[in-house]
Amino acid sequence: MANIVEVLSRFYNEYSINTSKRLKLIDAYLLYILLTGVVQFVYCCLVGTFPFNSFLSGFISTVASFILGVCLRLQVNPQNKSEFRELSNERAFADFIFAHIILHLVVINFIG
Amino acid sequence: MANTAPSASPPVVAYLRWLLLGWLLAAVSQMVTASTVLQPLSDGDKEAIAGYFVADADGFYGSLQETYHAVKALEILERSDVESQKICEAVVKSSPISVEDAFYVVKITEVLQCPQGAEVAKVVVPILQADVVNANSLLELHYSVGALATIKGWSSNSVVHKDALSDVFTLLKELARPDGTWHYSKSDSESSVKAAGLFPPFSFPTTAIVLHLFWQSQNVCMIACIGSVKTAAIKLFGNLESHGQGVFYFSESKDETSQGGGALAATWAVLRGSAALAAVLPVNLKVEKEKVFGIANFLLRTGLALSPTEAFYQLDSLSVLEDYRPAVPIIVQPSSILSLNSNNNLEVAVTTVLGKPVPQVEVALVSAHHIGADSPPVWSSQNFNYIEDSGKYGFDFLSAISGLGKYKLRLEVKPKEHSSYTSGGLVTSSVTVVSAITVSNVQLAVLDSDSGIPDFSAVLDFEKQEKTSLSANHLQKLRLSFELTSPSGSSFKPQQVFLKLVHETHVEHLYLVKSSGKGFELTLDFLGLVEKLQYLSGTYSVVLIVGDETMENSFVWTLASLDLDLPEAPEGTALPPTVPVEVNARFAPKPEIAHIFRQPEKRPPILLSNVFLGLTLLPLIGFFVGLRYLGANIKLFPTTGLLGVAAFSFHGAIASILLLYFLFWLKLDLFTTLKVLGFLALLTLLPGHSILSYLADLSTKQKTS
Repeated sequence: MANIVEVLSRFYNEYSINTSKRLKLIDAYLLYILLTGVVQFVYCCLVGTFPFNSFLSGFISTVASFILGVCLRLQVNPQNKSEFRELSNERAFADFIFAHIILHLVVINFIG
Repeated sequence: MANTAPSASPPVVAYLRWLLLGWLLAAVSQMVTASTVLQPLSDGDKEAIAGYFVADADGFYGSLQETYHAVKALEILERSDVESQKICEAVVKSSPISVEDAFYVVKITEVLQCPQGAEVAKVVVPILQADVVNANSLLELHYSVGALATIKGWSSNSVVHKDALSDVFTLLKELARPDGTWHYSKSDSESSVKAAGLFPPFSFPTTAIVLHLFWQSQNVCMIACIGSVKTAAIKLFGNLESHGQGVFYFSESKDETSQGGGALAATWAVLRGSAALAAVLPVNLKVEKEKVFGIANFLLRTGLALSPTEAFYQLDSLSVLEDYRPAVPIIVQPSSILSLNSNNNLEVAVTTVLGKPVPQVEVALVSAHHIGADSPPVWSSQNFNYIEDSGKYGFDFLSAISGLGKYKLRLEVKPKEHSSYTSGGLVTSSVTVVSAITVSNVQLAVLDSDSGIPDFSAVLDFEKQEKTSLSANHLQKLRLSFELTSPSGSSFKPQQVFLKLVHETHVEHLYLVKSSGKGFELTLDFLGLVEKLQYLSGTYSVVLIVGDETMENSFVWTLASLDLDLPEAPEGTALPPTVPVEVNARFAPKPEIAHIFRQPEKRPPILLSNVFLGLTLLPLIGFFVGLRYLGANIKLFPTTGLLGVAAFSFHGAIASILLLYFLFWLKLDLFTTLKVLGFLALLTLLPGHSILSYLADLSTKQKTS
């Protein structure tokens, strides 16, 4: 039990020091998306799936947004520069915006 | 027929009449394929038609034209309930203004043989004479010349001037067209639209009358004129249309001025006109006999007329056909059933289309075959004898017949002494020879299932229609056997032999009785039938049903009342409800079906939904708090210059896309959204590209420096 607490606090310290502000921003965004998805899922478990398309639409919106956020985080992380040599941060951000536009079109269409 | 009649037809009604004609012909063609024997106008039909004509308080039947139709039709039907005196007086007092009214006044006076002929003539002649000179359409000519010819002898001043007559004749020749149809009026000969196939033969009665009047004035033009008129008449009959199966008729033109009326009216006009011509011309008007018979076919098979006008056309056409000079159609009706027991003659009734007997023909039986057997003809080339005072011709058909069944007859009717009757060629019909069948040796028995020994048996007498009573249980069998003999002594196999068991609750069961050896036999094993009988015990009546087309005494005979004891239905078997077969219930209205709508789904309570809505928005607030905590800011946001514009428009465009999505969710459809999205995407792309490339340049500069 004590081990876990120690691991977590160490993790938190390392995280705060070593992560740039930009990445922390993205992590905060990801946490927000995650919590929204959890709330939706809990609601569905409570009241059942009646407008199933609405539930799916909302839930998949959070999941896909989370995935796109993770993609953005990967691409702007300076530690991964070797992988994304020709991909600038701005280009990653533009891709992120573009993907979101399409995602939200589909989500709104499906939400009914 | 007239412009002023209340039934004047706009094109729509004319079109509807075409539809009606099409329907009529479809119905006719059905009837024609179903039966080949034509029937004259029956007494029932005549009664029904007479019912169309209902007189007003003053004795009239509507307008002058309708009154004329009514009195003529009732005269043909030989009815005597026309108030001729009232009508005559009213007609004399009426002061006709138009030539059409004058025409009908004259015609009514003629039909009813009013004594006030001279007064009518005095009133009417000035109008008619004026119109003869001034007429420029066929219809007006028809009215004026026709009326003048009718009143020729009634007074002294009804003579038409010779020059006027030749003018009329010239006009008629102008209006004739090469294919036998006629223009409606002089002014039409220029315009081709109106003149297309116009309503033909008002010209015929007119021409006939003119010719007759010429006769009196002995004009020389006659010989040549007769030739051209005859040619025109024969060409007109070339316009006869056929609907297959020997039905011929004249169809009306599709022109607006043709006044509607349909094929009946057109056919009537041709018949009346050609009859008038034939009466006047010194030579015979040659019309093919098949065509005349085809017209009779059409008139009699159209069924009951639907309006007084149609009834008039039908009746007047039939009365013209009664003594039509080219050919008089006659109707041959052989009897359709002959009984061996009564040994009657085969009788053929020969009548005119209105039902009057025709005594001057020779009826011969060309051949008679047994239908179904490939044997040589039973009779060939035999003559019928005329039965006095009955209008029928008889022949001893049965003397060569021994077998029952249907025989196909072919009859030929030949007119005697140059009379011009036509029966439309050979007449085919069929006659069914029937007889009473002897039922003998009827045995009803209840047998023990295992041993076959009868517990009960009875022999029933058919003549007395005996009924017995018996009882059985499910371990026994019921056996019925009987023999059927035809008069020739051979065993008879009818089409229907059934045994019916009827329970007291009206539940019925039918069984087929099969033939075996010389007779028929059926054994009902109740052990196997217990389920089929639905475990219903009780009193059943046992009914024998035998029937056939050639059997004169088909019967339904209750043989016995059977007390049947069946075991109880076992537990758990869901018996179908025993439906009582009540004949009328089959046609009663069915129970009404109440529609059950789909139940709406259960939704969660609104409070819970709202709570979760709040919970969903909570992380967003948490995110902004977190951003503030992390120290994120927008200090570097460019506010001035081109960059500022680009930045603002980039973010504005993204915001507008989100707004578009919101509207899409509320009310827009996908296509509109996609169109606007394309536009907005362009709007996002351009500033976005510029600002992001600026930022990219900035970061590379920072890295290199």
